[in-house]
Amino acid sequence: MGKTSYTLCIAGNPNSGKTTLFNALTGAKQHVGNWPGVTVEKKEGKVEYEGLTFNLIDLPGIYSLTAYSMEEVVSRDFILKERPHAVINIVDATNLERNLYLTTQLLELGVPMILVLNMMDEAEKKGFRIKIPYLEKLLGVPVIPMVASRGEGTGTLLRKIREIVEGEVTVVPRTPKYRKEIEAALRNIETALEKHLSRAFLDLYPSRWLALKLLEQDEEILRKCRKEAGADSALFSALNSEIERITKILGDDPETLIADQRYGFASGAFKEAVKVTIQDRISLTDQIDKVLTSRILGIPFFILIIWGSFQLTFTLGEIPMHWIESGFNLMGNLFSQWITVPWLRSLVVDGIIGGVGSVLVFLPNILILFLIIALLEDTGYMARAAFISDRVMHFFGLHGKSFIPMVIGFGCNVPAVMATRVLENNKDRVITILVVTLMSCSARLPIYVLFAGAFFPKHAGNVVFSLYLLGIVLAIIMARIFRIVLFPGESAPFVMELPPYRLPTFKGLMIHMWDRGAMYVQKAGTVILAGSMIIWFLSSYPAHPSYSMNYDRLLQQETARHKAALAGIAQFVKISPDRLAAYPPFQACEKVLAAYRKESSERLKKQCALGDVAQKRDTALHAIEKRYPGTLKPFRAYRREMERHEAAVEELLSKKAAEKAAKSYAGRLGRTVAPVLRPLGFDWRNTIALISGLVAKEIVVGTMGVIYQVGEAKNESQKLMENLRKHMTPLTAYVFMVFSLIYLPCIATIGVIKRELNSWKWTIFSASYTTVLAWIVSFIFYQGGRLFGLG
Amino acid sequence: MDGNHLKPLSELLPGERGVIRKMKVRGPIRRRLMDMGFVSGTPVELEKEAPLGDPVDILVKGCHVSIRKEEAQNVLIEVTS
Repeated sequence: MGKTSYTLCIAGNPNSGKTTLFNALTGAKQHVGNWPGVTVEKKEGKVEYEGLTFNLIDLPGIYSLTAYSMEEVVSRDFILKERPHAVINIVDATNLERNLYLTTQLLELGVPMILVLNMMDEAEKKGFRIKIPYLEKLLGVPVIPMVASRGEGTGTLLRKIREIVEGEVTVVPRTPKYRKEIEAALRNIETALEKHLSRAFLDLYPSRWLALKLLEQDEEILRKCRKEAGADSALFSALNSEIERITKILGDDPETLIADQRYGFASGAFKEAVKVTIQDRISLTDQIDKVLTSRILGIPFFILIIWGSFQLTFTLGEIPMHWIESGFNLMGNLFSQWITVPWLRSLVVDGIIGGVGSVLVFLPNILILFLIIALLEDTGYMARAAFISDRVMHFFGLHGKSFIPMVIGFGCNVPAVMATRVLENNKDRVITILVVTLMSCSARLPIYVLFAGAFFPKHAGNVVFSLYLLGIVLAIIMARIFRIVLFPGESAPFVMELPPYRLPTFKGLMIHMWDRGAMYVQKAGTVILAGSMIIWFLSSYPAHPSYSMNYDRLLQQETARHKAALAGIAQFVKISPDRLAAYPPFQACEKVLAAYRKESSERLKKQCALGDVAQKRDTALHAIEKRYPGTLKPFRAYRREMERHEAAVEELLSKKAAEKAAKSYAGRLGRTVAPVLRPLGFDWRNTIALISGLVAKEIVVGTMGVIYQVGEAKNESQKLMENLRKHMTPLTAYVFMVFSLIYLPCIATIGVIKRELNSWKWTIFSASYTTVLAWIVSFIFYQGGRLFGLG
Repeated sequence: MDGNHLKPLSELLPGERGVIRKMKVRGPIRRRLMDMGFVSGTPVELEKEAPLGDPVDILVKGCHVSIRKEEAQNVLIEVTS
């Protein structure tokens, strides 16, 4: 038995169906990671076939094997260094000529290869008759027709892979022959390579390929050779004289000539192997584009699609949101019954369940948003969105493709930062990442909902919208400033394929959605869990601070007063005090009052008059009085006393809790930092909430709840809103929302920025500029508002 | 080839066709354009402009490629229709 595990990779153009094939072969057995050192996604999967294991690597989508992008470098390095047992080159059969350009370069790497002609059904509809055996002969590799979206042809592919890796078939790829001047130059360079480079280095690369790359002036390979041979090696003078000679004789630089001839090879193969039977049929894609990117309808449709995506995200997401919310509430209740140790109960219920619950509540929104984004990407509309928005984005120093991360930013900044990978140019990436955090993510929404609901109940929608708008405007302004200040000079080019519209596969959408959703869950599970526990600790300890009043004694006094008052009432109706609550006439009255409360609140909701409901109550109470004479008077006294007691107890408990919060570690921290934020109209409570928001902005609302001591009140958010109104003005509330929008994105986002840009400098810059900007903008809003007599 | 017949790709009208004769583009974008099929001798068609007038959608080797006018300016073509 030889080894039964083989490494394979899939290479191909973007939009050639690479990922569809990968999904079809591996199913759910995938692992998504990163290529070492770079931020290009690496997908791996396993395929079991007839007792063999194929380790399948999905290389990033590329057009070429130059050193233009990280994706290209990663792909060719993988093939050269890992020497996979076979390379599966998937091409879009409807677009064979252009796709074969990459194939040509893969053939030049000299590894065993299988060419997969994907979307054969569409190619046939387009009138392409592809002579497969002929194509096999021209390229020297097996060619397999396929419809990856339906899984057609995967069986043949697997069989062919087995034949190749088991050595039953030998593949000898045919490579293009260049013009004689270039071939001569290649031979001379190869000789020079043998002379000037070490054996070990030469063994890493096929020598003809190395010579080609040097002739093409590939920066990556030049750098490696310079490092190996020394920058002043005779190798480079030999190379330069070859380049000069070719440029002089042929009138163009070798790079262009080589590309020309590769295309010559590709289009030669295409013309010989493919018969086109229908000419110039207007495709469905062209017809759709006539509407979606048309001069008049293009922009309205663009706005409609983006608006629709958001509507769907938030309206559809609301339903499961309530389920999750009640699920966590139930869990909290259960745990608070099971756990008897008070501090542990508080940690689990308030810290862990409360903290993680407040984040997972947004999971439905996030999943729907990612599903829609996957849908837009997989259908091909995202490219059109970039096409339509590039003009505007370019004006502001961004790139049409920056649009995609910006939209994702509304869902969650974490995947938005990761989505900047679509940008090939590093400057564009840095600028986009820096401003993408200004996109108001869904974690900030609960803050807006709370404050807008408390202070601007009639205009809540407009207020929230104004914050989203403010984020966008700031992002645009900052992008323009960064482009001018940080990266002056030429902006990156915008070259992007507009792929044909396609129906996405269900499986593809699900995998796409889940990959990103999982990132969000991971954030909830790690950073936010830890953060919630830290915030819980800071705000709950020290557990027994020295209070300004003896709350416990005051409580005892109140209880004693209450007992005495009840005893008086009990004497009046001539029963023992502890049986007052169960006294039948009182119970009857309570029932009437309960019914009244229920009915009147329903009326209020419908905004109807209350007149007859109150009348109904009075009639019922009089009926009771008639049946049990002398009930109403003591009952009213009883009711008043009960309410007075409840209010007194709650006030004492709230005061105690608020004082505890103020004297907690978090409270002390808030008081220390508060002077910095005072010019913005914030007090120490706001400061604590904002500090806790560094962990995740969702936490701000929860912290507000703790500080304002909502306590055990039945209607928590109502109570919180009331308390907020006592301490803040509408102006400070709005400024608070503005500050929450802009200042430092959450820790998870900062972590992702560090990972993506691989630079502490940019990470620290991102964290600090947003906070400074938040201060400045809030200052303008607050002081400006006061000038106009607001607040 | 007489240089006078050549016209920047950016000046084509929607629906107009031509053949690439000279790539004046420099820098990394030149390589990218070549990878996408912009090499001399290749027929191209300006399919349409984006709603805001820029970028443009170029049909090259059966693919739609969007490039900005400032880049298309440096692709010289011979108009065929």
